[in-house]
Amino acid sequence: MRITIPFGLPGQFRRNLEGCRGSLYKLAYSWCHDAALADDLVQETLLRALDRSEQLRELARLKGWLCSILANCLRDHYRRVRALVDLEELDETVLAHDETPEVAHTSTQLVSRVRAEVGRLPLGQRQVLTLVDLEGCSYAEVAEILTVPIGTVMSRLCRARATLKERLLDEAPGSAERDNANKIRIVR
Amino acid sequence: MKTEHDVSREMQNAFVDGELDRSDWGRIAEQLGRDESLRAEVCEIRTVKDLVRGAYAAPPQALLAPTHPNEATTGREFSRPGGSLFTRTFGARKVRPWSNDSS
Repeated sequence: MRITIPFGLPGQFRRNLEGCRGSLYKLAYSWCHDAALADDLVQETLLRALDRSEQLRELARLKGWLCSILANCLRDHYRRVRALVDLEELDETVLAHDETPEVAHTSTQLVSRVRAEVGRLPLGQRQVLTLVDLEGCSYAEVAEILTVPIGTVMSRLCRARATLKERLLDEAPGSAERDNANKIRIVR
Repeated sequence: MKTEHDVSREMQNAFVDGELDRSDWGRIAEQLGRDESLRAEVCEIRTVKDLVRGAYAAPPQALLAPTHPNEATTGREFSRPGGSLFTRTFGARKVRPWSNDSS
């Protein structure tokens, strides 16, 4: 799919859309763990953003607006490929990930292991986690992007990090040493 | 590890994410100074946050290939990671391992 930017759009808007591509792709990949799909989702997101550019009132809200469109694109994708799945349950559904935890455990690459564990999280938790950690969104922004209450954002984030902590820190070799290191680490 | 403080996990996460107002932040910061278990829990949250950020610092890029010649390109296009110049010139199409499209 190609995207053609129509002439006549304000240059600032166009430049800002282009500038968001990298972070949108990173976010999309963290949600689906499929590079080709992530690229498609970003393309679709930018297309929709162009089609609905008049909906954006303030350029300062561009990031959150694009994240919201991206979340809708992902839901639409799963709606197409999982027509029989109850979308209300999708947020709590653990989606398949190419790399199994067993494979990840044998991998010496920490990045692969973390991605595998993030991939095992229910989609709703994964989206909240990555919006906060990768995009630096506030809880209020995440609530608006995903159209969920802020309490849900906090609980999902809490559960996601607790799960990752259990799987990545508690089970990891050398966790005892890290535990000791934590004790002397200074928290700002 | 025994938990002796009354700071919930949600509040600990909010502390790490900078989501607390001044009074709540100050209350937790004060407890951090004297509660070892709270300090360890907050450090673990911070560590997990750093791990997640590091895991996606450089995500793999999708493979790109030229578009079909019939897909005429007009006007300016968005650049795409891993193929911006190519994409601007020719457009782009993903290569999928299951794709057998030679048309």
